[in-house]
Amino acid sequence: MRELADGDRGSFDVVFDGVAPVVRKVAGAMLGSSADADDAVQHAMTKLFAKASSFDPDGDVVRWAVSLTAWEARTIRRRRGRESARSAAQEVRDNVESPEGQAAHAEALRALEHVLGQVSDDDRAALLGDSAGDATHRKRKQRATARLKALWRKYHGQV
Amino acid sequence: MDRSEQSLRAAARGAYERGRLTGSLARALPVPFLALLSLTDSHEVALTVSVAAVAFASMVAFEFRGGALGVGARWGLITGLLPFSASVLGRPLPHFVMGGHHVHGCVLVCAAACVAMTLLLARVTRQHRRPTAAWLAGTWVMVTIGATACACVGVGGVAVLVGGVVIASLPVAALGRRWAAA
Repeated sequence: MRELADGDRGSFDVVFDGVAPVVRKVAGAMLGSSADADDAVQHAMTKLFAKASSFDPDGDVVRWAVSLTAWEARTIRRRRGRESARSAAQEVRDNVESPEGQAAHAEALRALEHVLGQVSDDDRAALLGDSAGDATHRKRKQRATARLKALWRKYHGQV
Repeated sequence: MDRSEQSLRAAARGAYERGRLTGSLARALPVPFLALLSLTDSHEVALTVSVAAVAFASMVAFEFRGGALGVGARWGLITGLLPFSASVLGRPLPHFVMGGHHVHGCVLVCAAACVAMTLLLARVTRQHRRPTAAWLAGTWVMVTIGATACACVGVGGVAVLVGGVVIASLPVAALGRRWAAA
């Protein structure tokens, strides 16, 4: 690495062959064998070699590669988490905001109101009440839910 | 070697070269500042800018290539500050007549500083694996930086400086190599 930092292009392949397996191993351990792991390897390797010229001659290249890869893997994981949360929220928003979504939403509410209208007063009270810690109420709620499902099946098919 | 391995290797190599170029440009940044300093009291704007451009390009190229040339360029920039300062500070000095030609005092001071720095360069680059290449690169950068200040007196000033340094460098080189080896 010291030679590469000094501009010796001949040592590029030696450094690459030494560092690439370490980077792959760390990315694989953190992200599994996925496209995200490949992305982390790509980012870590390009960053490592972009900064190779300013590498401290007394530094440990393996430790540097490991910390860079771990950082990249964490960044990708955080980004994926944000993206999936955003896309889920967008999906819900699209469903509610689009004309088809609004129509489907209204249809579902109408169907629910119709089915709830068929339920007895006792069952409705059991369904809407809080059953936490009360075994009798919980049993009553389970039975009311089963009857509600049966009613739904009768009018609208599969639950 | 599969395709993804090849593309990763190519991407890493590209990043390495880009990193070197960015580093070289950053290390050569003092040269434009020196040129601006020289331009504050110079009527030869085009020549000063041209010489500074040569100094900048040389610095970037040597730093990008690295090895002996990079080491030489770094030392050339440092040692070039003395002839540059000598030339800028020596501008009020009177003219001299040498061989029937008028020569600016500041050019002579700058040339003398360049010769001294050539000797110093021979000394500081002696430990490198390729001392001659490092010394030549350093001398070139140092002279072009000195010439950035000497350009204010025209092409003649630059020619006297470069010619003087080249002629003086031959014995200095021989002396410097012996001194460096000591």
